[in-house]
Amino acid sequence: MKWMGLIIAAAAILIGLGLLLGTGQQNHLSHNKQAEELCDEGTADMHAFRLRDAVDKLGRSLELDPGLAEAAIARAKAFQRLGEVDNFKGELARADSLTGLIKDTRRRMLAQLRLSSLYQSRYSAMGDSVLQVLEKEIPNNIFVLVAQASRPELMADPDRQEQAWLKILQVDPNYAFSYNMLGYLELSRGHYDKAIEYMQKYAFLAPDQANPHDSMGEVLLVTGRYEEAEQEFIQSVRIQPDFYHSLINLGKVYLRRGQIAKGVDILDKVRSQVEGSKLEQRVDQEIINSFVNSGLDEELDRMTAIFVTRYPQEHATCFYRGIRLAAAGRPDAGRAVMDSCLARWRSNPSLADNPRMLAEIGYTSSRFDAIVADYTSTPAERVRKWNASLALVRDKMPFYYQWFQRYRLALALYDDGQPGAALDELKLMLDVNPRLINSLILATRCSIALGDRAGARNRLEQLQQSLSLADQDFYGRERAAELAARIREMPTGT
Amino acid sequence: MPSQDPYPTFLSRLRAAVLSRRAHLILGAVTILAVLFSGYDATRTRPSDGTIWRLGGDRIEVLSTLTGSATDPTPLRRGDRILGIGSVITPTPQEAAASLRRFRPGQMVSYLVQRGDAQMILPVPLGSTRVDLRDYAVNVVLALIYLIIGFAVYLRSDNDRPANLFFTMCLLFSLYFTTNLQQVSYFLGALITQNMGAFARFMLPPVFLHFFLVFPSRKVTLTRHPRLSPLIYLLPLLFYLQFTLDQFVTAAGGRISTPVWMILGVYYVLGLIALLHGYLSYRDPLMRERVRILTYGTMLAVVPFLIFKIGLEEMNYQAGLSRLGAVPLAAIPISFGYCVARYQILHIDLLVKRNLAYGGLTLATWLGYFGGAWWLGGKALALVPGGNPLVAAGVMLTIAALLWPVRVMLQAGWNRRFYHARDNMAAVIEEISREIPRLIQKKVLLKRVGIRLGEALGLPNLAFYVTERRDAPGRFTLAGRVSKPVPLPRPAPATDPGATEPVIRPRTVYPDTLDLPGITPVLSEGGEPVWIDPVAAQAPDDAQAITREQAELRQRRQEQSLLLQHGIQLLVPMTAGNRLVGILALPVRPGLDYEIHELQLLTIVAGQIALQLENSRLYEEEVAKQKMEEELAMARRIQARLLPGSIPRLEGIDIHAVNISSKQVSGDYYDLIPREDGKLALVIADVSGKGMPASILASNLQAAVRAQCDLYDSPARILDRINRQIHASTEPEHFATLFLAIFDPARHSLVYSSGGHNAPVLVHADGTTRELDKGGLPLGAFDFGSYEEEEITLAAGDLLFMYTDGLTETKGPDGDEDFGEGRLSTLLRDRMGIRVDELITGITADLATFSGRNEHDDDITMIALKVGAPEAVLARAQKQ
Repeated sequence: MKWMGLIIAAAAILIGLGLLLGTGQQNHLSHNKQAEELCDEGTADMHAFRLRDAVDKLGRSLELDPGLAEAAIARAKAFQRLGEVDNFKGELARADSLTGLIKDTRRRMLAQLRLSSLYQSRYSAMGDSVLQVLEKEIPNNIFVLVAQASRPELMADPDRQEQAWLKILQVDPNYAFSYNMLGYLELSRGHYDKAIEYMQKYAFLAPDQANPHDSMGEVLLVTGRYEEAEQEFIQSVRIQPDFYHSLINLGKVYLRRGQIAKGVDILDKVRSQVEGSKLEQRVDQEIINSFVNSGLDEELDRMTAIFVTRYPQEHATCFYRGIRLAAAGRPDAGRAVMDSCLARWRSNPSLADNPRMLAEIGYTSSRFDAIVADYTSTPAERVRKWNASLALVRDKMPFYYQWFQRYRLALALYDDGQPGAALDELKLMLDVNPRLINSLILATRCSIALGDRAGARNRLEQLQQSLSLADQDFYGRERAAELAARIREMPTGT
Repeated sequence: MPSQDPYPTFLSRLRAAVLSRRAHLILGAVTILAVLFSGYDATRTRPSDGTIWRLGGDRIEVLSTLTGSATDPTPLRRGDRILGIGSVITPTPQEAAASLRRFRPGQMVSYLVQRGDAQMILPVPLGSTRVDLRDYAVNVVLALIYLIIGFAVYLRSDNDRPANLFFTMCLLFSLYFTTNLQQVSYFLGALITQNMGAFARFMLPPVFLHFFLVFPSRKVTLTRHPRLSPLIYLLPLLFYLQFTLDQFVTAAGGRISTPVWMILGVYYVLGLIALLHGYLSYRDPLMRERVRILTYGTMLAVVPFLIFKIGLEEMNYQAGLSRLGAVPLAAIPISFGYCVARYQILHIDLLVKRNLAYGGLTLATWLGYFGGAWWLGGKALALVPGGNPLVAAGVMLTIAALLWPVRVMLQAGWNRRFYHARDNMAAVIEEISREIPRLIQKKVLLKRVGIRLGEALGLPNLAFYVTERRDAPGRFTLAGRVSKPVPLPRPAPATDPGATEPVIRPRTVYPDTLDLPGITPVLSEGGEPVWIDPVAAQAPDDAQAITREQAELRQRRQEQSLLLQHGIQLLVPMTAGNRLVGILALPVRPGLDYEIHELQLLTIVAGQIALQLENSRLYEEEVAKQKMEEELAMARRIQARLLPGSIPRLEGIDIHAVNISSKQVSGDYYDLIPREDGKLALVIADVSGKGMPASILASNLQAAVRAQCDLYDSPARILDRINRQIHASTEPEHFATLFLAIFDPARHSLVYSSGGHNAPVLVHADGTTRELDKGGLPLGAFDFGSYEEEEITLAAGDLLFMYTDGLTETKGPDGDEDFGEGRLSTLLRDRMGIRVDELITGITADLATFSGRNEHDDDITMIALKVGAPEAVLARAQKQ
C-alpha cells in the first residue's frame, strides 16, 4: 500500500499545484459548465457573425444559467447586428440588470465595457473610464482590444487603427468584424486587392450574414467589378431582404452600368420599403448621392425636390435647395440659402468641439461654391473652385470619395482648354475603376482634343464595353456614338 | 532462461530489460491498446477532404490529394494553403480538425484557400475517414488471429527468444492490419494511428528477419556476430524516426518512399531465405516434418503479401487487390499454431484453452481498469469546471490509484481460478524441474525457485531452512527467503468469545534459526508437509508429561506455537534419500487453506530442491577437495625448494639426508648450510600443522636460520633469536621443532642446540649411543625461555643421526605399535659399518616393512653424519 500512498500524495500535490496555478480563467462565469461553454461558443459565433447560431447558443446558455450576464450581453449584440430592435432592447435591458449584479469587479467592468459600445445601455457613458482600468489589467482581452480599436481618436490614424484590429486577430483570428474594418481601411488607403482579401475573409467567416457580402460588394463596386459586386449584393439581399444598404448598392451597380431604369426602380422600391420609417431619410440621401455620382441630372433634380419638400429642417436640405436654385439660374438665392444654413450650423455650440464636423461643414461649403461656379463662372474660375474643394479632402477622404470632385475638376479643365491636365486627372480614377462612364466619355473627348486618335479609340472601346448592359436610351450610348463619329473624322495619322 | 551476467554493465542491463518477459508483456499491452484505439479511430465517421496536409508548423499546406477517395476530384490542389474551413479561420491543423468535425461526410464545405497570390473560397466535397467496413473486417479477423496465436505462444513460453520474437511479430502484424486501411487526415487520432501503422510497417521486416535467423535454428552468423541482432533494427528504426520527424516536426508529410519500401522488402526476402535455409539444413526428417508446414505457410503468406500488399498497394497505391495480399497472411499464425500444438515447437508443450480464457479475462480486467479510471475521471473532472491540466492529471491519478486494489483483487481471483489450478500445477512443476538442474549455486537456486513458487501459489513470502550433518538434531538455519511487500491481513477474530485467539503475526517473520527437535522426526520420517494447526498449537498445556510420547507431544506443541507466532503455517520437508536436508517454511494464509494439489506441488518441488541441495553440497565438497589438493601440491613444491639441492662434500666426513613427504605435506625440512669459516650448519625441523600454512612457516624458518647462521657461532643464540622472530610473526598455535648443529670438519667438533626437536642419536664407534638433548622449547610457541647448547667432539667412526618424529611415530600394520626410538637405536648400532646413504636407505626399507605400506602418514626426514673413512669403518665392521 506504500506506493499507493505515494501516488495519492503525488496526485494531491498535482491537484494543489493545479488549483494554485489555475488556468487563467480562475473566475468562472457560471457554476454551470455547460452554460459557460455555450456562452463561449455563442460569443465566438457572434464575433464570427454566425449570428443565428449565436442567438441560439446564448439563449440556451441563459436557460441553463439565467444570471449569466455575459451571455445576455453577447445576445444583445447579436440581436443588434441582426437588426432585431425589439429583441435587442429586451436583451440589453436584461444584460444591464445582470451586469449590475456581478460581484467580481474585473468581470463586472468587462461587462460594462462591452455594454458601453451599445449606445442604449445604461453603461454607454462609462466606456472610456472602464477601458482605462481594464487595458492595464487585461490588455489582451478581446473585448478590451475591440474597445481600444473602436476609439474615435483612432479614426484619424489609419496605421494605429490597423495595428489595433490586427492585434485583435492575433488573439482571435475569427473575430470577423476586424476583417470588415481592415477591409475598409485598405479600401480607403487605395489598397484594393488587400481590401478584397480582407472582405473575402469577412464573407468567408460570415457567409450567412448580409453585411459581409455587402462590404465585399462595395469594394468590388469601387474597382469596377460590377458583375461580381452585383452577385454579392444579391446574395446580401437574399440573406436579408430588408437590408436596404445592399439594395441601394445594387441600384448603384445598375446606375453605374447605365441601367438607369432598373437602378431607379430598385431605389424607388427601397424608398417605398422604408417609407414612413426613420430609415427613409438616410435612404433618400443615399439615393441622391448615387444620382450625383452617376451624373443623372434629371433624376437628381427629381430626388432633391422630394427631399427638400419632405425634410425641410434637415441640414442637407439647405445644400440641395441652394444647388437647385443655382441650377435654376438663381445662384445668388441659392448662395443666400446656403450661407444662412452654414451660419446656423457654425453657431451650433455642440459642433464647436467637433473638428470633424467643422471640417465637414467647410468641405460642404467649398463643394457648394464649386457646384454653383459650374453654373455661373468661367472655366478658369471653375477650375480654381474645384481645386480648392479638392484640396480640402485630398488627404482626408478615401480616393473613391473624391471622384465627384475630380470628375468636375477634369470637366472644368477640359472646358478651360486643358485636355491634357483633365486626362491626367481622369486617368487616376480610371486606373482604379476602368468602367466609370462619365469619366470615359470625358477622357475620350480629351484624347480627341489632344489629337490622340489611338488613345481616343481605346477610351471609346472601354466606354462601349462599359455600356454593354446600359439602357438603349441611356445618354452614354448617344455620347459614345457622337464620339465615334468624331474619331472617325479625325485624321488617321494622328 | 537467459544466463546471468556476473558483471552487468548498463548495456547488458538494458539488453536484459528489453528482452525480459515483463518488457514483452508491456509491449503486448501497449499493442492491444493501440489496436483498439486504431480500430475505434478507423471506424469513426469523420469528414475528410481527401487531401494530405502539411501537419506541422504554423500553416496548413496541401501536399497531395488522395486519388480514388470519395472526394476525388477535389478542387484543392497541391501547394494550396488552407486558411479556413467552413466559415472558420484555421491557422493550425488542430483548429482545422475542430472545424471539419462540425460537418458530415457528403457535405460541401467552403474552404478559404490561398493559391499563389490569389485568395479564393472553394466549395469542397467532404468524404469520410471511416474505412470500408468489409475490408476492415477482414483485417480485424487477421489481426485477431495474430493476437490470439501470439499471446498463446507468449503465455506458454519460458522467455524463449524465438517465442518472444514470434510474439512481437504477431503484435506488429496485428497493428499493421488494424492501421492499414486508414486514411490520412488532420485529426490527431488519425495522425497517431498513422504513426503507429508506420511503426508496424517499419519494424515488421527486421523482426521478421530476426525471427527466422533464430528459428527454426539459430544461424551461425548470429552466434559469431552477436551485435548483428541490434544492427538489423537500426535502419528501419532510423526510417521510422525520419517518418515521425517528417510527420510532426519538419512537416514534410508522412509517406514511405518507394526506395524505403524496397529496402523493407529486402528484409522480408532475406527472412524467407533464412527460413528456407533453416528448413533445408535439417538432415533429420523428423525435424523437417516439424517445420515443413510452417515453412510452406510462411512462404504462401509472405510472397502474395510482398506482391499485392507492398508492391501494388503500398508502393503504387492500388488498393483493389489488397485482400489478395492480406488474407494469405493468416497462414503464418495458423501454420505456427498448428505446429506449436502438434509438435511443441518454440518450446511450448501444451496449449490449454484455459490459458486463453485467463489471458482474455486479464485483458478485460486491465481494460476495465483503464476504462473505469477514464470514465470516473471524466465524471470527477466535470465537477471541476475549467480545471488546470495538473488538476485533471491529479484527479485521474487518484482515481487510478483508488481503483488499483479492485484490479488487484480481480486479478488475484483470476490467478487463483486459472493460474493456480490443479491442472496448471503440472506446468509449474515441469517449469521448475527444468530450471532446477541448471542452478548449482544454493542461493540462486533457492531464490529462483522461491520466486516461482511464490508466484504460482500467490504467496507473499516463503523461506528455506537447511540443516547440516554437524548441526544439532532439529536445528535449521535460514538459507533463503523470498518476499514481496504484501502484508497479510489479520485473521478474523474468533467467533467464540471463550476460545483462545491464536497468536499469529500479521507479517511473517522468518528467524535465522529454527530449533524443531520435536517436529523434525515427523518431517523426516513421514516425508509429508506438516501443517501447523492453530487450535492444536494453542491447546491448554496444564498436564504434566509423564511418558516419553507425552513429552514429545508437548515439545511439538511448543514448537508449533512458536512457528505460528512467527507467522509460519506450513513446513514442507526437503528430503534427499533418507536424509532431511532442510525445510520449506510457508506463511499463514488467512481465510485460505493450502489445497491438496498445492501440497503435492510443494512436496515434489521440495524433493527436487533437496536433491539439488545435496548435489550442490557434493559439488561444493568436490570444489573444496580440489582446492585442497592444489594447495598441497603447491605446499609440496615449496617444501621441495627448501631442501638443499646437493649434499656438501667434506673431507673425511660422510653425510647424507633425505626427506620423504607424506600425502598431506606436514612441514618437515632439513638444511645443510656451508659457512664461510668452513663449518657446516646442520638443520632439521618439523613445523606444526600441515599443508600450505606449514610450508609457509617452514619457508620462513629456513630463511631465518640461513640469515642467522653466518652471523653467530652459537646455535642457542640463533635459536633464541629465531624463536622470538617466529613468535612475533605467527599465531601461537603455529610452532616448529628444530635441531641446529654447527659442525667444524677440521676439529670434528659439533655445537648444537635443540628447539624442542627429537633428540638426535649419536652412535659412537664402539656401539654406545647417546642423545643430544640440550636445548629448549619449540620455536614460536612462546616468547620466553632460553636455549642450552653443548659442544661435543666426534671421534672417527662416530655416527650422528638426526630425524623427525615421522620416523619413530610410524605405526605398525595394526596401528598399535610405533616404530620407536629403541628400534631405531638398534638399527643404527647394527649398521654402523655401512655408508650413511645405505644406512638411510636401509632404515627406509625397514620402515616400510614395519608399517606394511610405502606411504606414510607424516613426513619423515633423516640426516646422517659419520666421521672417518668409510673403508676403515667397514673393515672394522667386517672384523666384528
